[in-house]
Amino acid sequence: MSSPSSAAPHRDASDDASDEQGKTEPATRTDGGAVVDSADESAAATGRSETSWLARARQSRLLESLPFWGPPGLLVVFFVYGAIAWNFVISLTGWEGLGAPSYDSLSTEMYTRLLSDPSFHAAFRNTLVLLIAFTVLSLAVGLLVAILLDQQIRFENTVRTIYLLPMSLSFVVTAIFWSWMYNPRIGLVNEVLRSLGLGGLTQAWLSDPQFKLAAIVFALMWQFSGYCMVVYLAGLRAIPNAQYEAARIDGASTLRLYWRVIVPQLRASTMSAAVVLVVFALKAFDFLFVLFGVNPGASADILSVMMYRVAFDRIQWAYGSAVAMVLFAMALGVIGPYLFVQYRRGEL
Amino acid sequence: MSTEATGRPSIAGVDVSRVALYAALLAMVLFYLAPLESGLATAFKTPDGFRTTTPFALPPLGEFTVDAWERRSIGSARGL
Repeated sequence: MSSPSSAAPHRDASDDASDEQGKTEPATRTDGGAVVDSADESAAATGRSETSWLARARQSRLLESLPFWGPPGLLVVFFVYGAIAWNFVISLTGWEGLGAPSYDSLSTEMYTRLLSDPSFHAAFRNTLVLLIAFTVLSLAVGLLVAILLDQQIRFENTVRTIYLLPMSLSFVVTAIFWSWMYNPRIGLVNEVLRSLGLGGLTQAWLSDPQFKLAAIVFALMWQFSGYCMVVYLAGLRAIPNAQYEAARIDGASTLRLYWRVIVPQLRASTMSAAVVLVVFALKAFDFLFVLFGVNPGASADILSVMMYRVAFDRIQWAYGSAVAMVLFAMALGVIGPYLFVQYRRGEL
Repeated sequence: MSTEATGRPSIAGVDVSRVALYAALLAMVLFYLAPLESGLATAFKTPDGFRTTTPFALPPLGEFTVDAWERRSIGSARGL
């Protein structure tokens, strides 16, 4: 059965090409001649020379589809990109308190202030650590679980659903669950350590500055490693069996087979999962807010919590906007290259 | 421990690597379900039951209640 999706790119490409060339250019015949249709002949005969740009505009599919993409496009430009631009302008003011902002004197003072603010340094460092540790750990656990699931096991669908279940929870619910899990007296984490005879390792996970960030990373990994598992499992299933068999015939051990042959082919899965994880890590505000409120402390403060604290707790709108712009730049720094690579590959 | 025709170690005809695989999968199932179980078990406890047990323990006999669910459903219905 021919799928419409497979036919569509070819049709669009040829149509775009014809749009670019315009209908006024005659098609070239395979024998070297030119095909001139009757409409062109009559136009030439009457001497009516319609300007080519007008003709192109009339026949352009871009203009034809304008009523469909125009209104939502305008809304996105106004409410998304317009809001980002306005936020940037606010970060250049000195707006504080309940009054209206003054746009008379714009400066980069807030950004200079950020650079000399120790709490920003701590929040920036923690955000980076959270991004990297959470992403790497989630990908690693997701890959491991996907490989385990890819061994033709029984009850695969049930097990897969259980692994993916935490992904369906909100950060708020996850935070409440893990606040119980990490409870130093009655929490399951310390209970398990005690029952294994590792009572010396029990900690006040959420109040000890040494372990706060690690505890957050672990809880977030619990929530999102199931998502990585699904992405990796799809990638694993797309690899032809012949490659497994060829590696086996060559005498590769299971570890070597995965490390040298299979995992390198999962680069696209890793990229797409990593981008989603980084975006979620940048939005981990709810999780930290439920656990610690507006003051998680220097050891667990991240930029999104700092932004909220500065803007809505201290009512320093301009400074909060500057923090938000840094956060936006970080998100763009991750998503921008990814989108560019996708565009270059023609997958966008 | 013996080795089957496949070359995999086995005990009494049971493939050890498959047993290890299922053990690992089961451990991961417990890891993913434990926080959910804590939340669900707590939702069926009375305040006393919550204070006297660990979050992941099932509600003790006589401390099982659906009060929290009733309160929540009434609260959610308000304004509809």
